[in-house]
Amino acid sequence: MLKVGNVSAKAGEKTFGYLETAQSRSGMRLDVPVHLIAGAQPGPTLMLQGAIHGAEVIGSIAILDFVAKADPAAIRGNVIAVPVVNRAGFELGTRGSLVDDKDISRLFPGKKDGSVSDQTAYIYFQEAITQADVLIDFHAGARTAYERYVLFNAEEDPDNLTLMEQRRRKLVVAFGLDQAAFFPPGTFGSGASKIAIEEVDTLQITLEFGGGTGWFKNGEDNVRDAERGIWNILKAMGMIDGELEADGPLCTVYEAGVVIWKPAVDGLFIRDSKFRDQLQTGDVYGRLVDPYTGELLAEMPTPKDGIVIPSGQEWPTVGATSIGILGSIDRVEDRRALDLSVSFD
Amino acid sequence: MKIGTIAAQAGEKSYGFFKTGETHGRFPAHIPLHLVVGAEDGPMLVVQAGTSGLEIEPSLILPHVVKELDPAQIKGTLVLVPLMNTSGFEFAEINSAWDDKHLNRLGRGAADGSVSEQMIHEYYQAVIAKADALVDIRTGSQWSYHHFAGVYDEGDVEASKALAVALGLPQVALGQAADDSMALEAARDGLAVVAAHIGGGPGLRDYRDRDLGRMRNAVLNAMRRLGMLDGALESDVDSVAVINRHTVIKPSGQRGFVFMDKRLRGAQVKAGDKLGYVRHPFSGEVIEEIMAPRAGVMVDAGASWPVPLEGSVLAILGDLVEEIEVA
Repeated sequence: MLKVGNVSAKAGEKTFGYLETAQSRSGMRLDVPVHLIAGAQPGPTLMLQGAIHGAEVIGSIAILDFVAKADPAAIRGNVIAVPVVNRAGFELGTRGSLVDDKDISRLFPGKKDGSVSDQTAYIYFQEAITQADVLIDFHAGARTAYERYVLFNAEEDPDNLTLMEQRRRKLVVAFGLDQAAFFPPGTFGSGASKIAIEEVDTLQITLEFGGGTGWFKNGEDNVRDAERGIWNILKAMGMIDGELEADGPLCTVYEAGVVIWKPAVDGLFIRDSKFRDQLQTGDVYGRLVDPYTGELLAEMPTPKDGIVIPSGQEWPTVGATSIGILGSIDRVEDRRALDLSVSFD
Repeated sequence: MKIGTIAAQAGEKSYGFFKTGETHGRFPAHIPLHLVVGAEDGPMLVVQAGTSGLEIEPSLILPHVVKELDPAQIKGTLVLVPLMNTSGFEFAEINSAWDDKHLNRLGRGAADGSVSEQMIHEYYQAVIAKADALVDIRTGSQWSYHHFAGVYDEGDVEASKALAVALGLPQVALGQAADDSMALEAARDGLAVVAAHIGGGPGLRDYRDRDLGRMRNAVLNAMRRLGMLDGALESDVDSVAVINRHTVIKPSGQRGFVFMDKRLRGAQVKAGDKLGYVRHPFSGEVIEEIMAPRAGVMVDAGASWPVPLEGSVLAILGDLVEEIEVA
């Protein structure tokens, strides 16, 4: 029996329900929609998570496509699939939850007696995440950016990998994209939520996949490739049989340590750099111009040499998050030479 | 020529803020405005954009169109507003942040109204009421993606249609819905008026140069059409399809993930053809199919992002009237 709070599925079943979490002051319930796929045979537990940032929905659609096709009779192990974690953010198209102005992804393991988002994070963490061997966390560029890479935690000692790090390296490549990246510790906050997830022995990889500015042309392809990645992870985990499918044989892994932030002035943002551009220190990543006259207000030079990884703002305003990320190539993985299967026995 | 405190002599350009008042917190209610006064007399064209604080892409190109223009080569006057809703832009909101009003849903404003209503009133009287033509550039914001020139049914429809065709967009849609906009009021006042729907966030990554180019061409082509500027029309299409629109589809049934078939844009569809569908966002079930209620040509317009705003146009259909070569 696979059970996530009040939602359950017997072996060989696929069910859908709402994990009861918390209620806001108006009586609005923020229960989390959960699909459970209990494989007919035993095996590991994979968790799929979308829209923990409410406007980042490409993964949500891919998760729904996967669930529609998944046959519990053919699966070894369990899948917990959550298309939208942050329902309030999804409703309003915002990153966090405006109910209490919190970002659920930053709250794990949550608080039993905290705000609505704290409570949601606590129950969701306890009931769902702690059961998972692997968590695939889908993010995207919301409506204002575009991204396409696998993101994972920096390794403590690349020459002496832990078991989780060894498995994670494989799954990052197995997902099937041609680019992956890790941020050096401290690049974006403390990472306390990611640490909490690892402490319960759940391996997490994050997808930064698609975004609104590229939706008209690439949306269908993004959703298709995100779903392809889900099936690949099941294959690599031994939950189904089949060959991995990928962008190509190679996956370039970047150490993404150069982050471009907004300068002191603000205006209309124009991004000059494209994915894969190699910038030297001082090269201009983007510019801010007067929105009414077009006059240059500021340039945004890169502080270090780096290659533009597939991530960044394209809508002509900049907000609180980073504008662009550059990195150096850490390694290039060749899928043809790797055994990407991962055992959780 | 003088608009508020912004003045330019014949053969000059000028730029400034058309100031109309202040908010409670003493922020200015104002409109950034370029004035290009030709060396010779001629008509007055107003080009405005950014009435929504989230339709900001035109400001990437419109100031540069002004730079491109040489007043010595121009007959008449161009008034260009690259981004009208400065407070909406500031706070990333569609409406004015000062009073939560949509600047293009206030008609010609009100002298005794809210801050925005007063601003639009003063702007309309000082600018639009004195003009011969208006090109009101709109985009799909962060949710939709469009490429057509809309013409209202009111006022001098033939003059507006001729101006719309001259912009060089792939489609002209006659029968633009009455929308309480400044443009509609201008049409009623007899100006040649086009609501030019160009671009939007979902296409920004892949079609930015084309979309900004179409905005540029629209301004210069409007000037050429009005005899303000010499030269041939510039367009990336050979012909313009003129469509008499008869159907606008908006969300009216189930809400969820909405997927419209972009491949149908520009195509002829039959009554009952499937144009898109709505999926339950959590269970994934298809909960509604969006069908064409009658036959028609699909206008290159509508929502693209799968979580459209309430009230968004999902699709526009109409009957093909004629194909006109861009010349």
